[in-house]
Amino acid sequence: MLGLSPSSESAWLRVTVLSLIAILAFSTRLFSILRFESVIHEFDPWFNYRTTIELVENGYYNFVNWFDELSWYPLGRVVGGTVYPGIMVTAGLIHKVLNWLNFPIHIREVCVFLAPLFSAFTAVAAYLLTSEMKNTSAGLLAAAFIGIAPGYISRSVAGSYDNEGIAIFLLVYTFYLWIKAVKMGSAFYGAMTAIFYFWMVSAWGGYVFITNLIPLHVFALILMGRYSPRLYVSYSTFYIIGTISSMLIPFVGFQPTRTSEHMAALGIFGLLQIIAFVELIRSHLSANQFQILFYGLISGFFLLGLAGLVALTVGGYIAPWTGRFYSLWDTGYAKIHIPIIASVSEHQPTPWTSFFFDLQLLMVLFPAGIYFCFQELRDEHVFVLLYAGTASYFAGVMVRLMLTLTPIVCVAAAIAITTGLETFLTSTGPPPAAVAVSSPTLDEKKGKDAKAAKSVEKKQKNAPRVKGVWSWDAKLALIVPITIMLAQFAFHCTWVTSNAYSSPSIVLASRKADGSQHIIDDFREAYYWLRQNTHEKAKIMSWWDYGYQITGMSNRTVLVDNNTWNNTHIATVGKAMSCSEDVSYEVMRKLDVDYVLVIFGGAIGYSGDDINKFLWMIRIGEGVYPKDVTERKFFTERGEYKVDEQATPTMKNSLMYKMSYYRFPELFGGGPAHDSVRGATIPNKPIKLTTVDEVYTTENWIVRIYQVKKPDNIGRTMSAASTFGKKRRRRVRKRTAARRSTAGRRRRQD
Amino acid sequence: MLPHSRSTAMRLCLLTILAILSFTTATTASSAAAVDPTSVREDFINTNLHRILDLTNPSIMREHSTVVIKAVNDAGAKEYYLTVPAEISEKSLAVLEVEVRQSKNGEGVKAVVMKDKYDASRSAQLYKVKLPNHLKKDEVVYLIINAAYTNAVKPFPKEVTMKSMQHLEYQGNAYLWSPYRSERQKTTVRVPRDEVLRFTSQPEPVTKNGNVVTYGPYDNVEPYASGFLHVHYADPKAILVVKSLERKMEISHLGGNLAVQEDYELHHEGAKLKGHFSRVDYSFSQWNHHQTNVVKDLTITLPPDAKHVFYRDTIGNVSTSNLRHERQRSVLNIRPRYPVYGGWKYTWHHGYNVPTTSFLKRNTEHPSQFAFRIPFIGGLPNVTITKAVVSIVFPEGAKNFKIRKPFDMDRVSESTTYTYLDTTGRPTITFEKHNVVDEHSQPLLITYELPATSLLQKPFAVSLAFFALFALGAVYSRLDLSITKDPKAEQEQLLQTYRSTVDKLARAETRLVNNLASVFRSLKSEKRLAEYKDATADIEVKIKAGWAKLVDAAKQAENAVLTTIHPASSSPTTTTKATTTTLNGSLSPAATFAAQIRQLQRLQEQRLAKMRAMHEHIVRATTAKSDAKLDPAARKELESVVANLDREIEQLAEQIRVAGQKLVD
Repeated sequence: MLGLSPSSESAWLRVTVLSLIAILAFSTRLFSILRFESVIHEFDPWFNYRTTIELVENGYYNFVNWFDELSWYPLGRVVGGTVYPGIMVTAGLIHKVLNWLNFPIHIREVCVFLAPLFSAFTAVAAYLLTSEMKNTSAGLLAAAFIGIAPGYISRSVAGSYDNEGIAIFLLVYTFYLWIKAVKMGSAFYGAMTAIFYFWMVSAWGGYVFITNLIPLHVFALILMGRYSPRLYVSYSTFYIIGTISSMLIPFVGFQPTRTSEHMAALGIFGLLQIIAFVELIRSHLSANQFQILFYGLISGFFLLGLAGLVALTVGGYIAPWTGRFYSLWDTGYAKIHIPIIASVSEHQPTPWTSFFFDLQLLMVLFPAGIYFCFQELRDEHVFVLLYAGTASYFAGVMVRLMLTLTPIVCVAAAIAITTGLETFLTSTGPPPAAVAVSSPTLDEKKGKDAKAAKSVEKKQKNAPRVKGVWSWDAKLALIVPITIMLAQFAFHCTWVTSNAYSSPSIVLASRKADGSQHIIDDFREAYYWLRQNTHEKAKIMSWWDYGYQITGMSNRTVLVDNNTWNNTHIATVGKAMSCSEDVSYEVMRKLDVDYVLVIFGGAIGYSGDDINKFLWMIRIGEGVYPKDVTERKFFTERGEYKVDEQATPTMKNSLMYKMSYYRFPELFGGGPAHDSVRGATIPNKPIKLTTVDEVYTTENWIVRIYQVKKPDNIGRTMSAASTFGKKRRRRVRKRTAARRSTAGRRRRQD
Repeated sequence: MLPHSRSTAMRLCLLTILAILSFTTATTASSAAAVDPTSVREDFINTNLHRILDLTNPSIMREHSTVVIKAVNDAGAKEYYLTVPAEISEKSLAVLEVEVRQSKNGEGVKAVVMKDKYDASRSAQLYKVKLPNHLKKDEVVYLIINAAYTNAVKPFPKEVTMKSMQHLEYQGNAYLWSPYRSERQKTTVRVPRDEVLRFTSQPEPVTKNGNVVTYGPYDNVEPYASGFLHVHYADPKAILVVKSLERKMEISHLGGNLAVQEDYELHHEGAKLKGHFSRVDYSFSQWNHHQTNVVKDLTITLPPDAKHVFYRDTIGNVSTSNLRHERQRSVLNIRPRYPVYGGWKYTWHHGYNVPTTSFLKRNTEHPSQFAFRIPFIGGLPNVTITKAVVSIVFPEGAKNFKIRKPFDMDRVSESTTYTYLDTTGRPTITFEKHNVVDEHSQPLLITYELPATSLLQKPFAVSLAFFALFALGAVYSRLDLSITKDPKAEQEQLLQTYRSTVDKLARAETRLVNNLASVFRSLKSEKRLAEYKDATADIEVKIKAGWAKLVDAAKQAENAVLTTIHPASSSPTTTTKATTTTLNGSLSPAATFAAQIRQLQRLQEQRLAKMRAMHEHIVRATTAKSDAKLDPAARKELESVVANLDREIEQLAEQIRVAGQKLVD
């Protein structure tokens, strides 16, 4: 084609195809930018963005020592010690390098485009990994799959500046390096694995998956009797460098030596040492002597290790499993013990449909790929099997972990398709018996399907008609459906990306009557109002979902945010939202709250609002304050969750209800006030707020901000004070009104 | 009304006390220094004076005065003085311009106004007006004095509800505060609406007619006369103060483009919002919004050919904007994220690109000289700008700047900006000025030199960088950083050089064979098979030469590996042993390579022989056909032989292809 030798020609082709795949992976994630703008999405990315700005402006050391007083008032947050700094440092470095090269790109753009960029890298990493498993054509297919698989796109669209954005690349690449290390027994690759593992540790809590999967792989290989010096060298290098470097991350610290999640890695490391030792002895002893020694030594070491582990756990030196991990084994665990984890939608068990929604065709090919791995079962195929097994389980437990499953599904599906195509396309006919010359092996023909196919055609002119797998109609019967399915898959992925995963969620879009796009920008309207028109030190109370956005966009102090480490504090906010005004007022005074922000979708039909989340506030509040909050009281006699006339008095008196529907019926000018989210009619009786004042409501009513009143001067409760004032004023007004009316009458009489 | 008048009374009291105090200090001061020569001046008198205080714009108060002055000294005079109270001069006075006319409607000449001494006794700042001509005694000229003040009016009451009208008040002097005696003067106050709650009715005569309140005319006004003037009137317009404006312009000669970005911090300093904002009230009072001081949108004027207009704020794009192009200008209508009420603020930035054609001119005589002319500010009218920072980024390599400013700046500084693909950086000139109003949207003129060669700087830098990158890559790929030499890899590397030659030879051979076949086919179709031998002799020679080269290459490869690995060893027999078989007993790469080449060559030989044989058969058959009829059995046999040979050739070709590939990989 280019006048090059076939090998370099195919190398060029591979590079071209791979770079096209990388470009595709990057650009398919830009829907939201084209449709909206270059903006940070959702909730957590806003925190990452804010910390990145801090890092870029004040340098790494200040970032690590940063005490953030804007969050978790009055506790604050030591950001450097409670955050995985990988993504911020990565973005900061890219920004720094670009600026050093005189490319003055704003840090926001770097953050927005970071996830798509790393998705392109992921495609390359998937190519490398699959090439190790099968061959380069499978690698290209896997790269294409992971480039467009919705399961991965869901967390890596432009603007989704979150840990997962770079973590999946690191995960796949670490695994690639690990496979390489095991294959070659190379200390260099082992060290590289450790370095990428370190990057991964710095970037995402999901590094525990690597920490456990690699030892599991080693363990499986040992059990299969595949212990080798290669394994010893690669794992020992990886474990030592990886563990020590991972302890450099302040948030991780001594966890690798003290928590149960990391014990498997340590145990396997010990086991490898023992086995290596035993191997050494075996080469020096006779078989008989060795037998005795072997049993004594192995069992002794094993018991000693186990006893040590148990003793350390009991003694409290090693932390037992955390609640989040229990919830991985028992899906009902969180609902009972930690409602806050259960309240997050992405922590729910995965419904079956979402597997097909996120992976479609790949889900079907996945088992086939696994089967082909079983067929070959080299060391690296064992790894694929283990990865596939564990990741499938975790993906079933939590919607979020679909993300870790996606890479291996892509790899397995690529193996399946390639094996299928090769079987049909590269075998040129029944093996020729007549020719005596050394017959070419199958391996060398792989990846040159096109050429092989051509030679097949040529051959068919002369040879008698072949049947079965070798006949052209059988080949066609395979190629056509696969082509159609792959095309269908591409369409599906684009559709899902465009419709499900490309909404920034801080900006909403709707269609006007004429079909043009109408942007609903209420969140930013309210956040910007807070930023510009409230006191710098104002404390804002809202449900924790909006914490990161408020600190990020309004630059104001919040009580709770999306880093849900302190259940009690969140429960206190839940209590304040769900109690009656007088009780809530006490809580809010104690917490120095200046403003309360609620999300209300009833006016425009935005279903993710606070009234719909209210049950979780009640539940979490009840978990800590069972005396003040009772979930049952918010349900009607018939056990329904109602906001209309039939709502329970507790519901109607709760601060959240009042703030959501305050003056809402007035919008309807006396007609029935229709809440379009819950399809309920809100009672027309005006709601009286005594402890807070409405200060701002956005254009479409989605965000409502209230100011907490100053306490009464003579120490009455707020309700008493307000009614006292009101009654008197009303009387005065009546009197003056009466006077005026009589005066008017008199004038008319004149 | 009652509380208002009471407070006004109190303020009057205070003012008198202050006046007395200042008077006493003044007297003590004057007693120390006998007579201050700057205080009262007698070289001119104002024969007639009409002053208009224009309050129609709440952000900027404009004062237009027409003064007829007469020189009274025998010697005549050339310098006329204006006085402004020190406090106003420092904080509020934005513009002070004087035009001199010989007659009332005659041609005007702009006079130079300079800040002069400070009169401590009256705390007055003097401004010296240099008249164009020396005035002789009793000579008369007209002075048109234009001044603009910021922060001149204040809202009262300070807070209003969402639905009520805003009222403003202005306090000042009913007379022109002049160091000269005035024979006759009059002050007219123009307010935006007829609705005037209150105005001082002293010193008489004071009349109100519609939206105009007239003080005077007064005769024989003493120097520094003062009469308390206070107007309290209705005005729903917002007092808009831009606390900071940053305007950045970047000129690109290559693209012929001027990129402009403006950052605003806007404060609404009108009457503050009383109580709180309520969305219900806001939506139900839509038809009354023009009666209140709420700011719902702002209109910004851009050049007519502006494109790529954007409107953003700190947290992202604001979708509520509207751009329309007109013949003379483009109008950008922006709606802040929220309606801006009194006491609120809003920040944003907008920008656009515009072709440089209307701003940048090249000097026709000196083609490397350019003149850049652009208004200092512009866009958002009727606002006060507390601090404006305007910076202009020139292309890389621009030098010899000459700046012509239309008015004094507070600060002019030069710096360097680095943006995309810059190496030496772009010279940047930054202007800073406080208290800027609409009158300052006058053009800045900057001329500079830009040699044509500096246009090439960027492409040159980029190509240099790429060259360096490739050079680095070339060097790196030739570096050997391994600690121990791997003989296998070493050999492999050496063999790599032979692979390409072998590949070429193999391809050439295949081509020649194909050539042979096609010659045969064409001869066959033309029925000239007798000439077959002669026609293909040449090709065969070529093919055989190729084989010889192949065999040569195989030998060379072997030898080269031997000499590089064991250059010292002299005996070829031992080295051959050492390299052909490694410790494990497997063949060394060089040996395999050579064997592969030989194998390939053998295959090629076989193929040619088979081909020849096939051709021979066919030739024989056809020649026989022409001579006599071939019997069907022999014919069938011949056909089967030919078919067999053909299949074998096909298989050989495939094997050769594979073997060739094996050699290259």
